[in-house]
Amino acid sequence: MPTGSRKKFPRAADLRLDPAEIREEIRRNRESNERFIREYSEWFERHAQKGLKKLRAG
Amino acid sequence: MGWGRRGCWGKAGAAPMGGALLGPVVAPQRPWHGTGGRRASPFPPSDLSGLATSCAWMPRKSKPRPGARDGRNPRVWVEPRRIRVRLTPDPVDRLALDFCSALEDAHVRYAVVSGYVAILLGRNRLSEDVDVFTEPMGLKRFRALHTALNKSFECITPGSPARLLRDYLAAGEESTSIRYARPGRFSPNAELKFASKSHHHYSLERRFPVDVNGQRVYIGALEMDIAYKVMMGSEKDLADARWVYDRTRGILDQGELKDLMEGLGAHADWIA
Repeated sequence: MPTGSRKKFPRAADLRLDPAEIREEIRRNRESNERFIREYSEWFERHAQKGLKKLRAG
Repeated sequence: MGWGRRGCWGKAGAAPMGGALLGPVVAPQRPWHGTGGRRASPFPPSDLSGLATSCAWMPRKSKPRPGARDGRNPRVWVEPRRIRVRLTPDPVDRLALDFCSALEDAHVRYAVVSGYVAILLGRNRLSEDVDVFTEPMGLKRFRALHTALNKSFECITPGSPARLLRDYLAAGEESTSIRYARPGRFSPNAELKFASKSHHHYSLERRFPVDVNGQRVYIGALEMDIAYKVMMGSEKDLADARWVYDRTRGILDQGELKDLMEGLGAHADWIA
């Protein structure tokens, strides 16, 4: 590989890291995880109720 | 090359955890896929703190159980240009390895980040998701990837590829992840997210190869993983960061790590 053609990796010093923005990202990720679990939990509750009604009717 | 075969992990095994309250649940399954007459909820309540005692199959997130993953027997060798891992894969490992294999086959640049990195490097804790960053892509390419992934996985985030792209992966500031799991299950799952911010791209561009039983997988920049975990700050995250740091300190770029820690406003006494 000719000199100078090596891939240049980004450097931390060149990143414009904004701690507030990243904290917000962490908060959103946590919220998203909790929402995921809650949605499936709720779905199951509805599903289980429906099944229970069928069982009782049967 | 020595990377060997990919994606040959055999049949998925039993669940990583025993059924304490509901009896021997074979594997975490979504209830609409053949749980039969079992009516007890395999789903967690919204209060996460109660998971460990209320759901037999649910991995305990923060409290490692002694010997919980003893069967993996991970052995890790850290070398300057790659990390080698030998382990007996459990269902989370198989999911991660197969998912990475599918991404490789689709020629998608990716990096595994966050908690699974520590687990891959031998930390003995349970996790129910594997976080993966990929390069951003347009609808045509994403649709092809989605179709390829759906051969071995099921997308448990609802919607067409166009909707998944628009509402989740490429939704500007509100961008988030989508999840893929084994068909009929929702845990463990792989959380796929596009790199959108500069620190995501940093992680992806400086990804590091790990040879796991002869299969190559890429993990995100170790320095970023450590700094980000320190910033997240929970007991579990700090322990993950410390674990990765201790195992890889010989190959870390300490200057980069220091710059990242400063940039993120994070601090840890144990970082030299």
